[in-house]
Amino acid sequence: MVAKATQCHYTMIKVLVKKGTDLELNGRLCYIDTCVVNGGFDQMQSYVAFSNVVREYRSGGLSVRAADGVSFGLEEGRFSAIVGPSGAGKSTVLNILGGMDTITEGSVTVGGRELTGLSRRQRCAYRRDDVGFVFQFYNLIQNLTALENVELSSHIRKNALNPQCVLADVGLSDRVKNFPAQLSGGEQQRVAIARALAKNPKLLLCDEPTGALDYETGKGILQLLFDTCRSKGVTVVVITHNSAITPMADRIIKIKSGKVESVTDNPNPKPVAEIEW
Amino acid sequence: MKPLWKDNLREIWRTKARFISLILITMLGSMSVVGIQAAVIDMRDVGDRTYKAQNLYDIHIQSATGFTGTDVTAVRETSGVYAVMPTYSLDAYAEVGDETVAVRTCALPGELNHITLTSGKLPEKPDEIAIERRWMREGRLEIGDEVVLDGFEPFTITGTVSSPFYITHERGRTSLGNGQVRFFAYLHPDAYSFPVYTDLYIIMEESRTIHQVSDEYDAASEGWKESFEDIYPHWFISNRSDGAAFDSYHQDTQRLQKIGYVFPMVFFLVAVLVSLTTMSRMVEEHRTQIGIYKALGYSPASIAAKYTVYAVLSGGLGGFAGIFIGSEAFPRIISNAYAFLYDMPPIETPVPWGIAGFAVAAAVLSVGVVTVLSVSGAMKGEPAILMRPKSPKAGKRVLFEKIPFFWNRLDFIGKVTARNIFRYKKRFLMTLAGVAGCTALLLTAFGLRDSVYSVAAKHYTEIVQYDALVYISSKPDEPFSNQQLYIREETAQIEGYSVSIIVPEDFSALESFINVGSVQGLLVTEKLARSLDGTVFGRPIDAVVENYIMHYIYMPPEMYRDLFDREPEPNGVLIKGDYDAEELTAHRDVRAVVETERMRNMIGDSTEAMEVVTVVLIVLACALAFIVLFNLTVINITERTRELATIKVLGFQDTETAMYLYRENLVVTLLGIALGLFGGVYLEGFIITSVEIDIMKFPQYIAVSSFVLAAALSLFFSLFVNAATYRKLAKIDMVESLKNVE
Ligand SMILES: Nc1ncnc2c1ncn2[C@@H]1O[C@H](COP(=O)(O)OP(=O)(O)OP(=O)(O)O)[C@@H](O)[C@H]1O
Ligand SMILES: [Mg+2]
Repeated sequence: MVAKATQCHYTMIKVLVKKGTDLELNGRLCYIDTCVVNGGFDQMQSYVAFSNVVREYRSGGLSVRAADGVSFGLEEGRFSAIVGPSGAGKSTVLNILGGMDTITEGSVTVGGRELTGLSRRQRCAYRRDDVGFVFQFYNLIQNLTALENVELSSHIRKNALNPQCVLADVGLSDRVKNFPAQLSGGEQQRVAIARALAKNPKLLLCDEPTGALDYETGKGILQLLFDTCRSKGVTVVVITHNSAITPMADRIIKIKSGKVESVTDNPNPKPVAEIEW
Repeated sequence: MKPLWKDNLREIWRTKARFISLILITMLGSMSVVGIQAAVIDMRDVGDRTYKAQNLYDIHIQSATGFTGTDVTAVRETSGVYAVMPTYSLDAYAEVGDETVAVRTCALPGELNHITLTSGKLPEKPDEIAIERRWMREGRLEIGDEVVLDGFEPFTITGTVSSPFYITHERGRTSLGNGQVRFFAYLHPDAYSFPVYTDLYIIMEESRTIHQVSDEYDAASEGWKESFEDIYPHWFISNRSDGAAFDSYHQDTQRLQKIGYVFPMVFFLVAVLVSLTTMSRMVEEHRTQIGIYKALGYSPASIAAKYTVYAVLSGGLGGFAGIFIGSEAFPRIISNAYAFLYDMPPIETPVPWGIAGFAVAAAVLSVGVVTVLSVSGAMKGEPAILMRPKSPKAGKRVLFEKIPFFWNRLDFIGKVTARNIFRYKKRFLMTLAGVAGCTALLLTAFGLRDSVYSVAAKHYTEIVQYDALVYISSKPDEPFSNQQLYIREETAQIEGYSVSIIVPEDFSALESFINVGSVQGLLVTEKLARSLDGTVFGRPIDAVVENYIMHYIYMPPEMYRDLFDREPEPNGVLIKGDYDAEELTAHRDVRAVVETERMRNMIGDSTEAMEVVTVVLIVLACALAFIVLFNLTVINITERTRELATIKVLGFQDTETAMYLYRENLVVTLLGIALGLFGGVYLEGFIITSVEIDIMKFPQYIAVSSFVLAAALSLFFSLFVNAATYRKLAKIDMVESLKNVE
């Protein structure tokens, strides 16, 4: 059967469609291969909403769809994880959400605001005011002290938090004057998180933040991210290869070959300390 | 195609901007080295060809008693002599307009000193004359008109000629009138009813095989002159160097040659420095890739080849382009400027392969060697280590931070800027050297122009205070003006310089006509004094006076009487204030009026050639400054893509990102400009002393406007380059740049 719908009828779709049904959405024919049962599909109310996002890379005659019709929603103030095999398109999705990349088709809204139509300037302002980004390899400016690295981001934001306090929050109050090269990997990642948090962002996006860290250190970082989410109400999205982490997330989005394979909600996330991987 | 070659071509394509700027830098470098020297060579060669084609004399002999046939035979049989031409010449007064002028007449030449007929025909009878075009013009004469020369029957003009003796406006000196020959003319030999020849012109055997405009010729020529002086001591022997024009032509090329050494040297150094850095940067950037090739088992030589090919290809392309443009365009522009001063046929512009080969080889070798060295340096580690990202250079506290007074006054971005500048010392120093070098070159070029330009202005406003010098045959009954000073002027040859000796009637009055200072006694002008040992005519010099054009000795009348044992009969009057030039010229006792204003303009004209040269230098320096700054900025951006991408992710707008980088560039540029202005003063001083002409001393003077202009141009280029690379900054792809590990 073919169901006809527009965006505002998602709630209805939830009732109508089943997995394997063709859906004509906004005049386009889509194939529903995922059907989430335990809530959350109600994208209309979602803080972050991806719908049918396509990101196509063209080089020469070849074209690669890094995101091939991605749709999911994220709740405000929750901790979400994006998982999937290498090359699945996780980073692509996160970069789009972070305003670092643009999309070929579809729509992305954050807090009801459409990202697709933003100008270059507006997208930059969005990154500045709403997004904090944490990378696998920290990307600290080597030539600036921990404090200055944090100041670099608070400098450009009006409602920034006090850099000293943020560094204290991540447990680095006594290392503020150190340069990145004088800090351990875990400490550098904390500086990177502090730098992202100092902007007082609505979204904290982390691309494999524990990828370059050992087990214990990685756990510490995850704990920090989780605590930040809970205490500050920041919406945190973490990409990870490690599905062992998933029990701690409120929502897990599984991506495969540029498509969302499943969206699972976790009513009772496990504390990080209890997770073994 | 081998993968490495494919990689190489792709690399060139990917880094087009860098590759092209490398080409342009080497091109400018080799162009400046080759171009000016090529101009020198071409100008000398045209002299060589012309003199040889004219069978121009090597030695000129005159005698108070003239030469008989026996004399001619004796000279002809002197060893080393190739040809002798006995002939006649005589200086005579002629009336041109209201003026009485001295004219040099020569007999139509035989096998030596070929003249060129420019209109009409040559004299065929004793009462016919061929005159120079200038006389024709100034005397408003036409072919067929009659001219009267003192001591001859009237002549009919048959045509105009140009003479190999006169390649400049200068017509030489005479014992007649004010001492200046005004025009030359050629007569039929039969017009001279002399029993003996007045002149012998000689070509030496040796001369025919040596370059006519060269130091070698000058040295040989002095030798011939001396040997003739030994054999014929009572004759007056002169060579070409004694004819000022030939000498100054050679000197001008020498001057150009000196500019052509010093200026392009600095130029070339800057160019090589920048190419070197560019290549070593590139190798540094490719550390990981080099590791990969090494791990794949490529030999070190084949890996090094990739970068060497890149360097040599850009260096070679640029070098050869520079050679061809330089050896074609420069000589044409420069010789065109000198055409105003010297009457020479058009030059030919072959490529001077000696210098050209040297320039290209030097550029390609130095850049090639450094590339090989940096690649082999980069390849030292095990592939595994190479492929791992290089541990980032640790941040450091800078000296600046230890001075809280400054540090605390900097805002956050200011601190970041200071840190970044001091952290990347190598890049900082290179940019500094590049900008400083270019600014120095600009200032030098502007300064040269100022110096050359200011000669006339300085001499005729600061030194010469009189408004006209009137040559008289005898003291007039009534003074010409209420501010005037009678002088006697004589010329003498001292230390190879032609010097005017000025004897004022009242020495104490001289100071208000010529700025000679308050010392009275034997005064000598600066440049002449430098080649004397504190005495002249066996007397101690009382003071050295400032002077820019010609050489003068001022002495009181008593000293003149003492030295020469005769009265200093006045033959000139210095006049200040208003005068009526026409009335003066018409005056019975006046032979000529030399107006200061006219002299000033004339000298101004003759420095025009130098000005063209300086304009060429300015254009070159601008081009270099531009490309160097462009290259450095591009390197800066490429090297720091990751850092820039990071701050873009943080939400820096394009303009803020640009400012983050430009602040550093700007600070370094400003420092470089300051340093360059400082260095430029020295460079200009060095060059200016090597480009002086005999009769002129160039003041080392750089106008304030030149400092401002040199600084402003450098700054402008810097800003312009930053603006031009803004797009590159804006285009940095955050996702791509941060994707991989360094
Ligand atoms: N600039 C690009 N040009 C072409 N294809 C690209 C480009 N960037 C990414 N891709 C492709 O898009 C796909 C998704 O890439 P992405 O970086 O999002 O994967 P990922 O899930 O983050 O993988 P990993 O876990 O390895 O980081 C990959 O197949 C990749 O080859
Ligand atoms: Mg990824």
